[in-house]
Formats: sequence, C-alpha cells, structure tokens
Amino acid sequence: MLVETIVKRGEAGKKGSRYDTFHIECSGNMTVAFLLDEINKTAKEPVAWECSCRQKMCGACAMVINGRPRLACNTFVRDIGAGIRLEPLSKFPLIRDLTVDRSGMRDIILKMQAYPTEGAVADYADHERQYLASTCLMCGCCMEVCPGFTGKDDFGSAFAVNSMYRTFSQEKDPERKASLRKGYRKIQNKGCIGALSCAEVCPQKLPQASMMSRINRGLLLFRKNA
Amino acid sequence: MKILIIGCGLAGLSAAITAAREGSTAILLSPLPPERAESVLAAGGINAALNTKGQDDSWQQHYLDTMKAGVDLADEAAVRNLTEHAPELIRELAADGVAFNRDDAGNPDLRYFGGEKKMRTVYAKAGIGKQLISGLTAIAGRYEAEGRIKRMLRQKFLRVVLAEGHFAGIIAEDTDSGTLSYVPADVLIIGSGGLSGLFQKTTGSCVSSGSVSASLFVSGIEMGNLEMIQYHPTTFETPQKRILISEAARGEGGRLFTVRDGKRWYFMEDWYGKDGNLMPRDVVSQSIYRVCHDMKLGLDGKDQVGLDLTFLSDEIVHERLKEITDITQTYLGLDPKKEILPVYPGIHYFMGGILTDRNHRTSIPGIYAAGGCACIYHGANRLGGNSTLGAIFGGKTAAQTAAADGQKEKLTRESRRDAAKSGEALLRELRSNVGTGTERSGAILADIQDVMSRYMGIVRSADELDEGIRLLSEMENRSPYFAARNISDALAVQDFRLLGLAMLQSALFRRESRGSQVRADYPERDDIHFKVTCAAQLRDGNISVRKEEIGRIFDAG
Repeated sequence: MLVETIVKRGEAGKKGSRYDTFHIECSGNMTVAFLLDEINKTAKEPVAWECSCRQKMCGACAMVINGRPRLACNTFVRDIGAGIRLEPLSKFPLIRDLTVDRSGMRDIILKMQAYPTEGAVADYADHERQYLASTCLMCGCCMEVCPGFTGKDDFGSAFAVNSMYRTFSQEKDPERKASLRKGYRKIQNKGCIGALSCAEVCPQKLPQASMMSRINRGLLLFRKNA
Repeated sequence: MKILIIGCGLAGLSAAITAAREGSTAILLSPLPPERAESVLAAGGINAALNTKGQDDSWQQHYLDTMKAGVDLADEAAVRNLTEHAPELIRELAADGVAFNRDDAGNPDLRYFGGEKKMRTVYAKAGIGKQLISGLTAIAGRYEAEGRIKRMLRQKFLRVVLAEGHFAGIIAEDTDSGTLSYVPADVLIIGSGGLSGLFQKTTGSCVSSGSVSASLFVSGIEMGNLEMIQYHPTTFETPQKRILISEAARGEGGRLFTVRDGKRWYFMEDWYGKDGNLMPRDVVSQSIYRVCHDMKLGLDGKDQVGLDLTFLSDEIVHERLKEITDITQTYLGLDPKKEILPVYPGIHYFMGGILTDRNHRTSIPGIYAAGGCACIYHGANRLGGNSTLGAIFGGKTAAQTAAADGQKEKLTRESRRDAAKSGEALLRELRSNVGTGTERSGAILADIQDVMSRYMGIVRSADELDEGIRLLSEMENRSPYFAARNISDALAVQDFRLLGLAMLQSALFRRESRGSQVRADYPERDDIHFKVTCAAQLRDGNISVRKEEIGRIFDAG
C-alpha cells in the first residue's frame, strides 16, 4: 500500500515548525521505524529521529504517532493505517524534528535520590515487581499523557515511580527512608491525580497502579512506625 | 584522576562505577544514555560457577569450558581472572539489587547454556541485559549525585589525540549541532561495543556501529583476531535487522530440527548426542549452514531450520522465556508455545577487536578497552553468557588497572598543553572537510556492508576473500560528503573501509579452520602455525596482519 507520512519538522532555537509529507510504498507489516529509514534514504534533509535497538527494547524511538505516544519500532502500519502523522514528544525540549532532550528524566531520578546507597539490600520476596520496575525503557511515553507532568516543575510522573519502587524496597536505614519519603512526596505524590493514563500507553505495560499504591502504602506504614 | 569512558553500556558503566569508587572522576561520553545501549539486548544470562545445583561445579570448569569453546586462542591468564572472579561479581550484583531469578534457597538461579555441561548461567527471565543495565545505572546514580560520575551525552567520539605516543584527549562531535570539541583526560577507556556497522543486518543496535574501534584502528591501535565473528545460530530477519532468539530457548530444552524424507530430523541430536542443541554457537551455526547449503534441507526449501519450544511448559515459555515469546509474537506473529520458530544464523558478536591484554591495556599507553570492542576473553568463539560477564568484569578491571598504572603522572604539563594544541589543529583539519566529498556516505556504507556480508560469511575461502579485498580497495576513491552538522558519518565510512579490509585480510591470513573461522580451502585446525593472535595494524597507510603470541602484555606507558 502507499503510505502517507506527515512529519513535523522543527529545530531548537528556531521559531515555528512545518509539516513535510512523504509517500512510501510498503506492506502493512512494516513499522514506522522502517518508514523513517526509507524516507531518510532519499530525503533532501533527513528527518532527525532517535533509534537504537529496533526491537522495542531501548525506548529511543518514542514519538507521538497519530496523536498517541508510541515506539516507532513497535508500531505497525497494519495497526494504524496508511495515513500517519509523526510528531515529537511535546513535553521535552525539542532538539530537531522528532528528537527531544530527555535528559531531564535522569535529573528527576537523581533529585528524588532514587538510587541505592551503602547498606541497601535487595528484596528477593518482591522479585517480580523489582524485575518489572527495572524493565522501564525511560522512553517518556508516560510523561506525554500525564495530566500532572508539565516539565515546568519538579513532578516526576510514572517513570520515576519505577526507579523509586526499586530503591524504596531496597533501602533499610530509617534515616535514608525518611529522606526518600520526603523527596517522593514532594516530587511524586503532589502531582499525581491517579488518571493512570501512563499505564495505558506504557510500551512495557508496567503495572503503574499497583507499584504506586505499594509505595504509598509503604510510606504510610513507615510514617506510623517511625 | 579523570577517566574518560566511551560508551555507557555494561563495560562503560562498570568502569565508571569502579573509577568512582576508587576516587577518580569518570566521564561517560556517548550519544545516548545507558538505557539505549546495545547491552540491553543481552538475553540469556551471565555465567558464574556458583555451584548451587549440587553438580560439583567450579570456576576451573568454567575456565576450561571458556578456553575450549574459544579453541585455545584466548589468553589463559585473562580467562582465569574472569572465571575465578565471576561468582563474587554475581553476589555483588545480586546484593546491589539486580533482579536475577532466584532458586528456592534465595540464590541467583542457574540455567543450562551452550558449551557447558553444568548449570552455570545466572538469568533474569530472558532479559539479563536490561536488568543489568538498570541495576548498574541505579548504582551509578549515587556517584552521579556526588559528582564522581558525569554524563556527557549527545557526543560522539571522533578521533584520539596522543602526546609522545601516549593518550592525551579526544575530539568529540555534538550529535545535534555538529560542533567539535577537544576533551582532555588522564585515561581513556573504550567500551563502545562490537563492529555491527560493517555489516548489513546483525542482531545489534544501530548506535553501536563500531565507528570508535574503526577510528582507533586508523589512529594506529592494534586489532586482534578480526576474522572471529560469531554467527548466533538462532536469529530471524525483520526489514531492519536480525533479531536474536536467545540460547536460553535451547537451554530450557528447545530443539532444532528440519524435515528430511517427510519426517522431522533433529540434526544436532543426531550428530552430537542428546545435548546436541547446546553445542557451542560456532558448531550449531555451522551445522545449520551445512543442513541448508550442503544438504539443501532447509525447512520449506528456505535458508532456515525449525526451533521447537511447543512441548515445553507454559511456565517455561511464557515466564522464564518471557522476552522471547514477546518478541516473536510482535515481529514474527508466532506464539512459540503453539508454533515452530524458523531460525537461521546471524551476526551477533565479535570475538576480535581492539587487542587487549589481561589487564585490559591496549597497544596505546593510556587507552584501555573492555566489553564487545575488546579482543580478550573469547578466543575463536564466545560462550553464551560470557559477554555480559566479560563486559562488567572487564570494565571493572580496566578502571582498576588504569588507577594502578598511575596515568595521571605520565604526561608533563607541557606535553598536555602541546596535546591540546594539536587537538585544536586536528579539530580544524577535520572541520575543513565540511562540504567536500561527492557521494552520500550512506550509499558508500551500504556497498561496504554488502561486500563484508558477502565475503565474511560462515564459510570463507581465499578466492572470495581476495575478491572482497579487491572490491573494498577499489572503493578508495569514492569520497563521502562531509555534512556540516555531521562529519562523523563520512569519517566513519572512510574508517570502516580500512577496518573492513583489515578484517578480510585477517581472515585470509589465518589459513586454518578454528572456531568461528571456517575456511573451505583450509578445513583443518593448524595449531603449529595458527595458535596465535592475528594482529592487524595500520601504519603509514598500509594494513599489516601478523602473528602475535597469545598473552602479550602491553606497556603501561
């Protein structure tokens, strides 16, 4: 089939953007990542996009596809039809075309201190959730649809829950727990309204609701015990 | 001490954490953050003789299996270090929170893997790489918060700058603006992965092309055993790449077969006994090649054989092999519990690369290498589960050696100043290429990849290798266009052509069949002449390949 792909073009520091249209002949079994590679074989000015593993395991190619954040390598023409609109994730600073600067995600994790310190011990009993939390791709799809996340304040949104989940269940020292709790409440609790749109769009289908409620429960119990 | 690390996969992260723990400052320079590294694709597991299954395992057996699979080309002392320290490394990672599967006693669980008779592969379902990267990234967080690890993202390594033959700094390119800068440091650790960019479709990631190795080759670093390329037996093709089906599928009981005279034929079991499906990867890949090419018995008349997992339990297929099921459902539309998976060997790993000694030094003082870019542990063929181990242990060892070598004191202030000047000069020279060249670099790269894929196949011969060398030599005059925002692409194409030539010449030079090097014209292993490292080097514009004693130690400088 002939697929029409409309791509939003823009660049950091330059005002305005435009939409370019490309036509590629391909089967429905091709992915958006494939289309972009094809487009760039002949485009005068190649479309900037981020790509690494091409098998939905690295999160690089997250973008807004027909209005919804998805991974380009995991979005098939057969599922979305021959009219495709590609835009960059809108809540991160634009670099060029479909490339955005997601380094702020790491800053949020560091600000929340979501990393193990000396004396942290892995919790085997909770293996399944630990494992899942560690499969977060850091793609940013959850942030795109989060009503609380604007990128303008400290609020971390769902991806931060994954790192925090791991850390909180590993740390044993009461003082450290207290400081984590403070950071978490400030950065996470205040911004989340529980819409759970994050869970809807997560390419890894991570169980955000259960992880968040487990952390929250832990925080409450911890406060009572402390 | 300031340690500059290229690449933030398992080797780079491990080096950074070690450097930070030892009081140095680590700079992680890479285009993308760790979660995009090729390491996240590692599937099956990480090897360590934990001996928790009552099978009387030991690191000595892990050592012997690694040497045997590598057909005696690896440095014994290096492999001894690796295997002896593996159990301790796993215990550390488990304590630090890496979510390995656990056995009933709470130990990291073990599974069978190719080339090993004991259960020795620690796993996390079928997604070890992602779990290890997440674990190491979390650990690094603490040192990032303290300022001991710094990320320099959206930067590409372009060229190394030396002073009196010693490492002094690098030229890096901003991936967005194309701006070039000189980055000085006391030590350089390369953890940039394998050489997938030289070939058409591999199981690798596109950010991990091998351009760093190619650039260093052009700058004179010695490469080792470039001919040793691992074709993983079980991969399938998508429009953009080959996707790996982890060896874990066979470790958990999966069987390879084709159809002969209307009946299923389990050729690996027929040829190698009941554990035949778990022979080392070179043996399995060459067997599949034999079935499809020599015997013309590919499944459905195509270059493929069947991988049968249907008879395994739901728990195994959907839980322990979760990632495999997920990937085959998405990209093949096949549920391995119900359907046969068609597979064929694909390029997966490079045992050769930057020649690296047992301490992880390279031929250039001040430069260290670890992980997929390094030629050190795997000889002529790598065991599944040893790459993740080699990368993490290697990064750690490289950082420790760099600290012990006292690289901070090696250059005087004057030589550093001179190096900065020559760095700036090199930077201007590189920039002066902008606008030159006549051809899209992608078109030249595609032709290089075509030649390499055609002539560096599973089976090679002098005639074909000569032809490949001729074709790449003829491409010398094609000039890639240097775009202002991105001179790295054009530079990489020029470097790849030279490294590709070195690879073809290395395969031609090794006139024997050993491990992953199969020569149709020299079918026998020849220990008398070729139990050596094939060292390739570019000097004064000429590529030389020569024999190098295994286990050579490099100078600290």
